[in-house]
Amino acid sequence: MTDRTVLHAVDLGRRFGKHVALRGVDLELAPGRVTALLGANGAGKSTLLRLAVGLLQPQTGSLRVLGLDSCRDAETLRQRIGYVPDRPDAPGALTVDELCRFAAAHYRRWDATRVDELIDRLEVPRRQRFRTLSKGQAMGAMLVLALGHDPELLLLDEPFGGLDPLVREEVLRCVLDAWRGDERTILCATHELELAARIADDVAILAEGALCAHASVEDLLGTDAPGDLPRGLHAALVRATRTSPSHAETPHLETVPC
Amino acid sequence: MLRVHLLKEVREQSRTLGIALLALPVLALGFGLLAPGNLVPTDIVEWFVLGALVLGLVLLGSDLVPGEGRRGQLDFLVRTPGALRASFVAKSIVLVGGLGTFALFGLLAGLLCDGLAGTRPDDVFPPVAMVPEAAWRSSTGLDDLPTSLVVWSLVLLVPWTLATSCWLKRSSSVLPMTLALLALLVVPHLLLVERYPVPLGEHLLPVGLGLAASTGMLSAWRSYVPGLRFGRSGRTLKLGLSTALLFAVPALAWSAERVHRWHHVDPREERVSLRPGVLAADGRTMLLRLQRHWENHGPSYVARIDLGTGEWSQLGSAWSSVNASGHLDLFGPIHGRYRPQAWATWTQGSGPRGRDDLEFHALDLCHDRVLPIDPANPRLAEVMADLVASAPERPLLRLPDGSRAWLEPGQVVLSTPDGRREDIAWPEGYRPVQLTGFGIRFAPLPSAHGTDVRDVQILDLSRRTFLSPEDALLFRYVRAGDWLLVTWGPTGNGDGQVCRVERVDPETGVRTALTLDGRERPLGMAGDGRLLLRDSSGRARLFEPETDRRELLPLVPDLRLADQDIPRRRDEQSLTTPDGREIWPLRLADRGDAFARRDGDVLTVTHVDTGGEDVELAAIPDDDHVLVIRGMRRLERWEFGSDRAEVLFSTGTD
Repeated sequence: MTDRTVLHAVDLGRRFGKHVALRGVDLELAPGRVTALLGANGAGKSTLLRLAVGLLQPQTGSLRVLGLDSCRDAETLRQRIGYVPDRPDAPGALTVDELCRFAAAHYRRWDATRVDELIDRLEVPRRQRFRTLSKGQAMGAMLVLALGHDPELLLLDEPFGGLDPLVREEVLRCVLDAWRGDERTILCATHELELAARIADDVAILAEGALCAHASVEDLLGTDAPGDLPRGLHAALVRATRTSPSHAETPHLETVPC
Repeated sequence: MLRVHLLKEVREQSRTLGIALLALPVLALGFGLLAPGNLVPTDIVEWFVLGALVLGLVLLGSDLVPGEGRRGQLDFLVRTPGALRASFVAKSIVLVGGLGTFALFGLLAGLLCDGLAGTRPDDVFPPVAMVPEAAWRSSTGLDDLPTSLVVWSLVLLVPWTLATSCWLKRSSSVLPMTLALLALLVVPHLLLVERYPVPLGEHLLPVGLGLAASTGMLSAWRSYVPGLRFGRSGRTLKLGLSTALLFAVPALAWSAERVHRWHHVDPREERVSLRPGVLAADGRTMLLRLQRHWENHGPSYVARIDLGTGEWSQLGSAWSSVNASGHLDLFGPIHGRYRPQAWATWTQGSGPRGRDDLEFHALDLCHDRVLPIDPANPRLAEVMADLVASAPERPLLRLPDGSRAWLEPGQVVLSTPDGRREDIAWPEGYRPVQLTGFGIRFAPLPSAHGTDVRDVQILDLSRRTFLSPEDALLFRYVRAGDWLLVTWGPTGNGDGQVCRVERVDPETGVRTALTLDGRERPLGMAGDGRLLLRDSSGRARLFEPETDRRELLPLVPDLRLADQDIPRRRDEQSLTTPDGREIWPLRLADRGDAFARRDGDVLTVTHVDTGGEDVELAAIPDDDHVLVIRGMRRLERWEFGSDRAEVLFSTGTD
C-alpha cells in the first residue's frame, strides 16, 4: 500500500446472518484508475461498495478509503466520495433543484455551476419531483448528486442497469468525463463485461464473496487495444464466478483463452 | 440545512396531514348532525382533541422513520454527511408541530360537533379566534380539560415514539411498542409507590416526567443519529435501549432508595426528633417514637433502643407509633404512661389516611414477641387478661380516703380500703385521655371527622359522678370535696401575668376566690389534694385551699424555681416512683426544666443545666432516676439530687 492508495482492503469480510457476502477480500485501488468490479448477482459487489462508503461495517479485516478508516471516519470520507446506488434512493418528495439544495447544504465542496452543467447535459427536469422521474432521469439525477461535490472516489453500483441505450450512452459519457486527469478514481460494480471492457483500466472479479482476480484489462486480455471482449475471456470470467473459490484457483492470464 | 430537511419532511407528510385533517371536520359534522343530542357527551371537545392527538401519533409519529425505510431513502440520508442530525431535528419539529395542528383541528372539530349537537344552539361553530375565551371556556367545559395530562402524555410520547420508530420497520408496531416501553419504565415506579406509599414531593412528578421525556429524546437521538449511521441494524436498537436503561435503572434505583429511606428511619439524620414511648419492665430496652421532618410532613417511626449499649432497631415502617400497654380503645393513652411495661402496642399504617389504615401489634417488651392484635386471637385475650390483672398493683390514682383507682377495658375501677370494688363505665364513645387531680378527663374516640376539643367529660372519682359538660370545660383540678378553677393570662396592660384560682363547691356551685399573692403560681396537685405553689421568692410551697395554709417544701439542693410560666404538664396529678413517692416537673431559675421527688418534707431535684432546651419526661425506671428526652434529640437518665445526665441515645450527628 502506498500513501496514494485510494482503497485498501485487507482480509475484508461481511456476512448477513448466515449468508457470507464477502470473505477474505484483499484489494488495493490505485488513484486515477477506473476499476470494474465484476461478478454475478450476489457475488458481493454491492456489499463491497457499501462498505467503502461506510453504509456497512466490516466484520472481519480492515478497509481504508482515501487513507481513512471507512467506519470511524465515515463522515469525513463521505465528503470525498460520490456514490450511486443500484436503485435511485433520493427523497421522492423533492424536486431535482430542491435535492441539489439539499445536497449543497451538506457538502462543503458543492459546485453549483458544475451541477447545472450536468443537469443540462443529462436533461434532468429540474422542477419535477424525484419520484415522478423516469428511471433514466432518476439515475441521471443520482449521478448529478454524486458528482456535485467533486468526489475523489466515485462508487457506482450497477448504474446502467435498465437504462435505454441513448440514456445509458449519455450517462456513460458523463461518468467518463467525470474521470478527468489522474486524481479521480472510479470503482464501478457491474456484471456487464462489455461495459467493463469499455470503461475500465482494471478489472476485479468477485465470486461468492471472494476476490478471484484483480488486474488491468490489458494484462487480463493480453492484447493492447481490445475492441470487443473476446469470447474466451468471457467464458473464463463466467467460469471463475461460478466456481467456488475454495475449490478453484484464481485464474491466471496464461489460463485465459484468447 | 434545517430548512431543506423541514421542506422534505413537510412534503412527505403533507398527504397524511391533509387526509387526517379533512377527516376530523367530516367526522365532527357527521357526529354532530346525525347523533341524537343525548348521545353527545358534554366533554365532546376534549374527546375530539384527545382523539386527534392519538390519530396524529398513529399516522404521523409512527411513520416518520419507518416511512424513510419503506420509501427506500434511508441510505440516502445515512450517506449524506451530517444529514442524520438535521433530519432528526426536522422530524422532531414536524412531529411536535404536526401534533399541535392535529390538536387544533381536533379542537375546531369538537367545537363544531358541540355546536351542531345543540349544546350551544346560539353559537354554532364560530371561528374560535372571534369568540372571547371566557365564553367558550364556560360553555364547552374546556376548563375541565385535563390539559396537564395531555401535555405530559405528549411530552412523553413524542420522544419515545421517535425512538421506537427507529427500531421498528413497521409503523403499525410503533405506538404499541412505545406504550409498552413506557409502561415498562413507569409501572415499576407506580407499583413501588402503591405498595410502599411515599408522598411525592411537590416537584417530583414533573421532574420525573421531564427526566423520562428528556431520556426519551436522548434515546431517540442515539437511535437515529449514531444508531442509523450504518443503516437500520441491531446497533440502532442497542443504542436506543441502552439509553433507555440508563434512565430506567438509576431512576428505579432512586425510587427504591427513596421508598426504603422513607420507610426506614436513621436516627443519625439531622431532622429526626424523639418522642416518649414505653420502657420495658426489665429496664433494659425502651420503645421510642422517632418523628421525622420530611418535606414538612414527615411520618413517625418506632425504634427499640437498648439502653445499655445505645443500639437501636426499627419496628414496622413509616407511620408507626407506640403506646402504653393495651389496645388504644380499651385502655386509653394514659394507662401505664411513664411506667415500665411488659407489653406495648405499636401501630403502623400506610399513611395519614385515617385510623382504618392502621395495623395494631402488641409487643412483649422483655421477650421480644410480637402479637398481631386480632380479636379472634386467643393469645391476645390472655395478654389482655394479664394486663387487667396487673392493673391494681400499680393503680392510676390513690384517693385521700385510701381508695385506689385503675382502668380496665370500658370501665374505671375503684377499690376502697375495705376491699369493695366499684366499676364506673366510661361514657359511650369516649376514652380516658388525662388525669385532672382526682378526676379523669374523657375525650371522644378519634373519628375521620376529627374531634371537638370542647367535647370533654370529667369523672369526679371522689364523688363518683361526671361533671356537667360546662363544668368539665372549666375545671382544672378535681379534688376530694371541691373543684378548683384556674385562670391565668396576661394582665390588662400587658406588663405581666395574672393568675386566679377559685374554689367551687360542687353541691351549691358557689365560687370562692383564693388569696394568692400576685406572683404565686399553682404547679400541680399533690396526692393529698394540696396544691404545689411557686411563691414570689421562687420557693415551693404546699397550699391547702380549704384552710389557706401554706407549707414550705425546701428544694435539695437549695435552688430557686424560675419566675416563668408553669412547666408543661401532661397530667394535673403528681407522678410516683415505684415506691410511691411523688414526682413533680419543675422549672428551675437559671437551669431550665427539672424533676423533683418528694422525700418527706423536702423536694430532691435533678439539677441538670439544660441550657434552655425543652425537657420531656419519658419514663420513671426506678426510685432514683427519671428518663427524659432533652431538646427532642437525646434520651438521658437523670438522677435525683444530682446534676449528672447520662446520654442513653441521641439522634442527629452530634
